[in-house]
Amino acid sequence: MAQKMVHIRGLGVRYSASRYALRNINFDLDRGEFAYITGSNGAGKTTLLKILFAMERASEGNILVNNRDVSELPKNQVYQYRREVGFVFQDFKLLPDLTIYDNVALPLEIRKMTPGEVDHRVRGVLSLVGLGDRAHDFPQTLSGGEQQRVAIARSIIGRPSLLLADEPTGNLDSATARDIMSLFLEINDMGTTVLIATHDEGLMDEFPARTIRLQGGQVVQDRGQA
Amino acid sequence: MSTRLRAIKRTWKNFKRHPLLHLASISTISASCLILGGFLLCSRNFENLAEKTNPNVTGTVYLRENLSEGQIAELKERILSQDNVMKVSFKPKKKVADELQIFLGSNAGEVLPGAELFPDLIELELNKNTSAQDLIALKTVISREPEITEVDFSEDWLAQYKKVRGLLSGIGWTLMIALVLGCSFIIANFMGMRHQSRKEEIEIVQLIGAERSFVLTPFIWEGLIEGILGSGAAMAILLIGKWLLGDLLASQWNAILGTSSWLFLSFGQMILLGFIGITTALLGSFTVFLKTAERFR
Repeated sequence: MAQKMVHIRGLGVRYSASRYALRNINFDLDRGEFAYITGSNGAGKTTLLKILFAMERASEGNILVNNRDVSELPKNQVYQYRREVGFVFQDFKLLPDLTIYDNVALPLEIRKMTPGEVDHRVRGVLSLVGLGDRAHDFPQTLSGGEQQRVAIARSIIGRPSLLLADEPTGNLDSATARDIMSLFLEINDMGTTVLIATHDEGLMDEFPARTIRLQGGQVVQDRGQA
Repeated sequence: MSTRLRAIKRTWKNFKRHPLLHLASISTISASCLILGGFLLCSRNFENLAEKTNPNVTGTVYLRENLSEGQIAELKERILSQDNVMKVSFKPKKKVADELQIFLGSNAGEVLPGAELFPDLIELELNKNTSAQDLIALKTVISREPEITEVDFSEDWLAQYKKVRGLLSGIGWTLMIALVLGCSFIIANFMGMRHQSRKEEIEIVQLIGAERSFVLTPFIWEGLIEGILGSGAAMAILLIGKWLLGDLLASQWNAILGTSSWLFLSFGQMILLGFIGITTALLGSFTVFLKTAERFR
């Protein structure tokens, strides 16, 4: 149990008495594991990630992330929890009037780190995602793939133990999507547990890993479990 | 670096990031304060003029013939003891005749006949706030005194004057309510505008782990600065307007209005405008924060 990064039992999200978004979800993710959540539109992938990121509340079940009970997380502790978990959004969610450097530095400013520490970490992570020379550009001057790299840099700069990504390649062409997937694997190699929601079967075939398939809010397949 | 210093730094950064938005916020607050301040300025000067033109309410009491000095003194005491009577002064018939002669001057065709034709009288000066009803009641009481033949008060004129002033005051209040509603509309739009423009930013910083104070503190600082600048700008415009326009008008209308300069806002009114400006801006900040931040906690 101590080795589990994510431990989900009996998770359900119910919008009404008969309408479920998720129903009886059970799975674990080991520390350092790389996995996909897949399924068609409306299967519950995004809802599951939102539950794991404390953006939504489960109606039933237990969710432990890094031994922390997310289902019982008090509202005033959500911000602390989100510092331990990174999230990459399909639409990047970058602040357009901040430079790449400032966007990536934001999570560290929130943590009240010293400017020297921030600078050191931002330069390191920008070089990891291959954008070391674009630090002072603004997001709108970057391509979609580059913007997603900035979003990934921002999500990992706080050194989260778990990285969640919701359709991170959904807005990208296939070549760029492959680059982004390679980057996720690189991050995973550094020890971060990665869970990616995607419906891109080709990409999952190209970068094989454990795949949890959802259908109608239920797990219908858990392939390649470690 | 202290938390407060960080918040001020972030506020300064935010001002640099959204210069047009902040300019728009300051202009909106300024416009609202200008409208209210303009009304307060007009209202203050109107009150001042009304005070200056407020008529001295006077009355004249005509006395019977052959009253002794003791009787007159006693009567003066009795009249002075009545409500709203501020001052009484006795005027003998000789003085009345002389004053009339001086008033008529060379227009008088011939010298007025002897002072015997005029009665002795007592002139009354009344409280400025005496109503027409009080005046009628006072007239009734004084008329009962046996030493008096007739009492003359300008009660009809006073009633008309009070009616006009009441009407103007009513118009002023109606205008004030309309202005407050107008300003509320401007402010509501301003809040909506701020909410739209900052919604995404609040959402993102909360999703990357910002605590409430990190999001709220710069908003409070921004609101405070916008409120001070907005209401300050409104007061500066009003002051310049008063100098350029008000004093010019006052000098032209001096003869009619009896004033050569206009008053600026009182200290209390300036505090009120500043308070309204700052409160509006802070309310805008809090509304944006509460409408957005709660959704992403």
